[in-house]
Amino acid sequence: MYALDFKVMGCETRVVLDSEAPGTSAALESVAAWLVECERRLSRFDSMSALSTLNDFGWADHVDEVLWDAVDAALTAASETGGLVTPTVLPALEAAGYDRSFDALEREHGNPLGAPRVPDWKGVERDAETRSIRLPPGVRLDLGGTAKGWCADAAASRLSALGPALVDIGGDIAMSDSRREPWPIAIEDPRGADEPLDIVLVRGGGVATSGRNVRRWRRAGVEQHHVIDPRTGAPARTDVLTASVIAARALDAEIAAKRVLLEGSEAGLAWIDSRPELAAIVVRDDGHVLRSRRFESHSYRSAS
Amino acid sequence: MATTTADPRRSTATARFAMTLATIAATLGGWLSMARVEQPTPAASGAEAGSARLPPLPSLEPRADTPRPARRPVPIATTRASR
Repeated sequence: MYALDFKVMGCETRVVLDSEAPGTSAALESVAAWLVECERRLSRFDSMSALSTLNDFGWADHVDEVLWDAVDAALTAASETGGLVTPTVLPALEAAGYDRSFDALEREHGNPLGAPRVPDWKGVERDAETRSIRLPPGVRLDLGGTAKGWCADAAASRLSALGPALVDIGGDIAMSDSRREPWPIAIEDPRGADEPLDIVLVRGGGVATSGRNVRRWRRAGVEQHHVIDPRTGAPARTDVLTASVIAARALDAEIAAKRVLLEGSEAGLAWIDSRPELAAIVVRDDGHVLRSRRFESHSYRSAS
Repeated sequence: MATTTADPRRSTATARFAMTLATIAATLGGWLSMARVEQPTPAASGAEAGSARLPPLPSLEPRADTPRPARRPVPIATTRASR
């Protein structure tokens, strides 16, 4: 088994190939380079990226495959969640103070800004034939809610031709299903414990966590975080500290985890239980840990 | 005809040597018999000494219906909120 660790999209990233075949190391390096290229095209913090160009001009024709597919994933997420997980939150994120990469962000802002209305994602027009994207006036996109999951899935798919593969981008994890043994994945305890909340055994698909325990700052004395609730245009007020979801893809897990965080623990877990392909573990603000009905079957403790 | 006469000094020394050997043998025999007495007999280690006899230890073989604790695997990756 070979692994390569590096940083991309502002996150610790790991790519793994469970193979001893010749070319394994080269394949890992190749997929790492591809992920760096994805960041170069999809970052809202790079004024030269394809996404920034689209946001600045409001339209783009013949966009590259990475931007096209990443925007498609983000708009599909918006459609599937009734607009709850939407890429149109960029003005609201900036108003909350997240207007530069998090490493460069001032942790204490002085000026309060109002929470702007989050525009409807349905106004974004696309033409598949010419690969054109048109944004309505005032709409700018942030792909941070879905891009890591989408990239992890795509990278794992690329690697899987050479053997069982895992791609972990900042905790959004995609796994090919060709491995004889399941992948053991730890779920971090956001309460600061050294031990993980659990270790799940996953045969393939994705695991992702959404949380407001990290990427936090203050604006005019009020705590802010990076998960915007499009219904209010402000950082979500919710009883969920973190939500971790197991799904068929990393993208699905990322979308579902955000949805649970935005909807709150009770409604979020009820929704998870209504979906047979999902399982979740939630840590609430008060420190309570809640599991969906199907979560326990994924825990290593159920494997005896 | 030649005759021999016993040397009284030699016979005394022989007798003393024999007595010394007998004393050593008696002392060793006493020690050995004391050591044997100090060995606890099975009966003395239990009821005669006043202690309760412990029940036999259970078999180390797990019963078929005993759930085995799952061995915790080493994780390959950790899911967490993006930092």
